[in-house]
Amino acid sequence: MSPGALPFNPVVTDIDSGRAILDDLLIGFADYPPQFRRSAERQSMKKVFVVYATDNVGTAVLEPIQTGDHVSCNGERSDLEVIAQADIAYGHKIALMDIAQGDTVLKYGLSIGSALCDIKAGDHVHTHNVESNRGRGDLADRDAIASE
Amino acid sequence: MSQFMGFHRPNGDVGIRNHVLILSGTVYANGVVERVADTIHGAVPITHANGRCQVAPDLRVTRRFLAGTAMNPNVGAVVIIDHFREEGMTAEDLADDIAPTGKPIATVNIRGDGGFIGAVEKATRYAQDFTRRISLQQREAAPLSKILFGTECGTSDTTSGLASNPANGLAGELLIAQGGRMLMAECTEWMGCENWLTEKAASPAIADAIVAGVQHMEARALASGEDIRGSQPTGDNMAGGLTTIEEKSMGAVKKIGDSAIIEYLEIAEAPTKTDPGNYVMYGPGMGAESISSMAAAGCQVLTFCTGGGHTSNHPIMPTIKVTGNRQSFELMRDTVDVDVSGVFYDEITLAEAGQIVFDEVERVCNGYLTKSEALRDNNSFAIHRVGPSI
Repeated sequence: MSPGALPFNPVVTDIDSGRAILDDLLIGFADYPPQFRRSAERQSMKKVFVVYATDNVGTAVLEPIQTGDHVSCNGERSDLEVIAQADIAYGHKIALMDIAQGDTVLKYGLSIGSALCDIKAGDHVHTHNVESNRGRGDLADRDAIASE
Repeated sequence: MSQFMGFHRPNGDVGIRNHVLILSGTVYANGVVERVADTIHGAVPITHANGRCQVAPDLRVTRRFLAGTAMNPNVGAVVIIDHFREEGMTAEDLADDIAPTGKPIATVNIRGDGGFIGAVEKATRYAQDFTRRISLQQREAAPLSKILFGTECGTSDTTSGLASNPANGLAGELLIAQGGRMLMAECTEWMGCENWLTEKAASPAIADAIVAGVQHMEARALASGEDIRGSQPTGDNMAGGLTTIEEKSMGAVKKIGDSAIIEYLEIAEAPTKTDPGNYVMYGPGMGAESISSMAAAGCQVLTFCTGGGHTSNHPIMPTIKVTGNRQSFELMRDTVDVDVSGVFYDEITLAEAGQIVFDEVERVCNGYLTKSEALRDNNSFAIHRVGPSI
């Protein structure tokens, strides 16, 4: 859609710059008419689902995500937005914030493993960058559950 | 405290249905059982492949499944049919197990009562008398604390761990807040998140039993030559986006909420406690065996969370199917009861989804028929085996 087609103040044509200007002026988004909030880019924003408010990953369950997509969240974290750094297939997870190497990856508000390396917001989160902390025979001396 | 309208039993239990059960003592009585149930209004047949040539520990489990099903509060009266005097599990043995409930029980023996025709006639006369007698019973008010609410998941997909299961856990919490009890089995699926369960255990003994139960199920799998843990999550799980065993298991055990775990039960064993909270039971992931073990433990109602869609329905325990997959709901509209996929589309919150599931459970407790009940698709009675046929 060309900027001229947008049915609001033509000065603000980009959602990100528009938001920055509004933040500077301490004017909330909600004060603006719905057309503004549903700009072309906003409408094209992809959604992931977040199951618990303290999670640092979301799941692509509504639609697959492509690299570069602007991604917002449904579920328990509607405030977060990231730009996808990789393609995220249906059912796969995206980092909603930076997760440092060794940090806990949280889904359901609980650990689903530890980051194997630094994970950036928007990265695909899966077996290549997360390791399980359970059933680890190789860590038997420091994993009480796995020591049977 | 909220109430529901149910059928009050002499032992204080309250059922949400009032079935006459025609119970087979052995595989060889199944034909008579089905013929009798065909004839009698409202009768439900329970048939199975067991009762003969079982080793003692296995037969004890079978006996617990059969007697427990008949003792379930949803059963108003029982006719038990066996074909010979089965060592360790005659119709009379089963009747003795069921007797403390105080409900009408009759036994018929095919050999002793005139063969197939004689047994069908005698059992049909008993069943006719029973179904008329219990038809006089009216639903009366009872507190929701009388409800033992079972939960299961099957044909799970990506949506299960995100929507139907956690919504169900929240529904369980709403029932527990009313003094009720929630029961979860399938200890295969606890593997990888024993911590989350043991943290909720009301005593160290329960926590130990939970860990031991998972280990026992794992050992059973290993003995069959199958290494389930080495391959968890499975290749298709990982292709579907599940990264670790704890992620997979969390999705499953989120069927229960955060309340304390009050008691650990062996398979098909009724709780001895009445405190509100969560109860967990040893058992396999196999859906029909699992929900049958929960019916035998006394669950009056069960939610069956499914992603891909499921037909499971227990003959005497209304089985409410809940899905978070809108496509599955559309494809199986006549079978799946509750659609909570709205959580993905910002239509409802998970908390609202939990309330929707709870409301459906409450309606079904008051007599509302599930979709599969209305179709009499009674497909999910199965008995867990713990030994070989000899």
